[in-house]
Amino acid sequence: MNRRDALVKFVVDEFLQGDAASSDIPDDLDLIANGVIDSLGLLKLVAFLEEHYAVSIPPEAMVPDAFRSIGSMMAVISPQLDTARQETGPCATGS
Amino acid sequence: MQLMTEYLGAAARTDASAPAVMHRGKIVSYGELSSRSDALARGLRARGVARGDRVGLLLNKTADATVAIYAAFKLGCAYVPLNPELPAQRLIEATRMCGVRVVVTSSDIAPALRERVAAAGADLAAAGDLEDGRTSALFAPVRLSEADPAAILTTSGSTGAAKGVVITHGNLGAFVDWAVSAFRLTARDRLLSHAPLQFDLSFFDLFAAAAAGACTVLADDADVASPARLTQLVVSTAVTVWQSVPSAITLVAEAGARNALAMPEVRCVLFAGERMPRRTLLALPRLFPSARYFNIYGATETNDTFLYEVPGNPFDAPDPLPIGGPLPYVRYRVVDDDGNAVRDGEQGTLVVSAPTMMAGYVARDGGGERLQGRGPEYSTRDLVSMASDGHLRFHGRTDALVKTNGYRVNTLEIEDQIQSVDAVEQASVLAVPDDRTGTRLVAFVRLAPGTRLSTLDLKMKCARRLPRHAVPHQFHFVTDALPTSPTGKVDKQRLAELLIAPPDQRPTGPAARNTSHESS
Repeated sequence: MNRRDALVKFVVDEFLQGDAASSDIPDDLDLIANGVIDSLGLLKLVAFLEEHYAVSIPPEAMVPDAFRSIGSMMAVISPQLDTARQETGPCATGS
Repeated sequence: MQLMTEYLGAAARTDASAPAVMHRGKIVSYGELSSRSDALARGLRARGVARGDRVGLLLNKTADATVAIYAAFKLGCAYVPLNPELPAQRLIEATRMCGVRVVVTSSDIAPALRERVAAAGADLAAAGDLEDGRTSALFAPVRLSEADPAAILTTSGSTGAAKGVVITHGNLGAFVDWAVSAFRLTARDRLLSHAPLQFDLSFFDLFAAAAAGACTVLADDADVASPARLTQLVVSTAVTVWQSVPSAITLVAEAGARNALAMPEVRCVLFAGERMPRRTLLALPRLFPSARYFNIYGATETNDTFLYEVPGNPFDAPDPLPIGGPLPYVRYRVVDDDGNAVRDGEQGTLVVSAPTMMAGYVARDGGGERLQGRGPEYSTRDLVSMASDGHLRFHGRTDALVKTNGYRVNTLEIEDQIQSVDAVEQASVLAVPDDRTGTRLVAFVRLAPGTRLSTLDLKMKCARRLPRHAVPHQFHFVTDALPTSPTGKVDKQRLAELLIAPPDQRPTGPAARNTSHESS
């Protein structure tokens, strides 16, 4: 499962009771405006991202816009993942 | 009693440089708040705005919004908060319903939204451009009376349609005088403004602060969404009084479980608007080690009416928390269906009267406007009982209104909106107590045979028609008609039992493979 798929699966399982196909969630779908996630949901997303991808999201990045869509979340974590990859080799992130 | 314009003037005369509003590191002093609201009032008056008009605020939560509120007061106008986060259709309805004459807005609001709201019949005025700062220009504020409307807040009504609640200057005055003395607010205090301005909790954050010459620290949408940012804001600005809905504290407590967050400067924590989850209650001493904790009960129509102080060790508090005892300005009765008082310990409907009680709901017929729904008492439609410890207990609602995330929502309205979706044959919405979030909205939906809608489809459709806080958290699809009570209504008690039933007895349907997964 690639990085993006794991995040989409989490969103579908956690906020949509598993009741949506991965293809229903395009990268730019606004998850907040479309009622998929609420404020407590944002927190669950942060916890998931930090645990699953072993990244640390700095407080200044914790703004709703960063978690608005699959694309924006990937943009938040990707720089850290890419750095980790370069430093420790291609398989170290485990994803 | 003094009116808010007098309190603002007094604060500016006492110490013009004292901070009135803090937002994103910028401070507006009482002197500036006073002169800038004069300047904006002058500009609005030049546009023809006069006493009795309604001034809409299509603004993010910034110092500009507080300037606009006092400008409205000085013109003898009521302000109408129009939160840009609400669906455009809601804002348009509120603009029409409340008879908004001019909308103060700013360039950080999407132009399309501004135009749509203006199309509802109001003038658009840009907050910054309109401030007429010429000191030579005389501005004579209107001489307000206690009966002048100060604010119109929109809220869900028991019929499902939104209502405009008219709050007078007298209502505000009675409330702030109590709040200042009850929490011993002084010019040294800093009050966190967590609630959006269309929420009556904001009266405390803005007006009790001004009456005491204290500072209001504005938490905007970005601050509120991030527990780390919010805590940082509270610590860095040395907030002393925190007021919010319980779920805001839950958010911080959950984040704090991972990174130790404590806010030792806070001396009072007030929460209102919905059930306080036990888990969050027990986290209070960790988050606010030096504070006293107050559970506050009220409604938009009456403002705060009851209060319960949580013991220093919240483990000692009854579960769920009591509503508490009446505020000094409140008279109340607990009555049966015939309006007769019930005995202590028996359940009845809580009716209250208070000087903070609204002037009425805005009603329109033809071209005219009138106020309605204001009697000598206000029926809260909450079922309560008086316990032997002198504290009221909450038992439930007598209608379809529920609180979620501090917002009052009408489950009938949500059901109507779900049922208006083509494939939906029947829908019922339950408010389920949740130990983490306080309240969770769960929808049961029966689709027309041969049709298919996913949870995502329904959430997206709801989000287009309803405020975000009214979008159900969970959808359960059923194939059979929903269970009914002997009177023919959907039996919500039975649905609630289904939710806690073992998985094999859960409702089944086209999406049955999904219904056993609980989103918590």
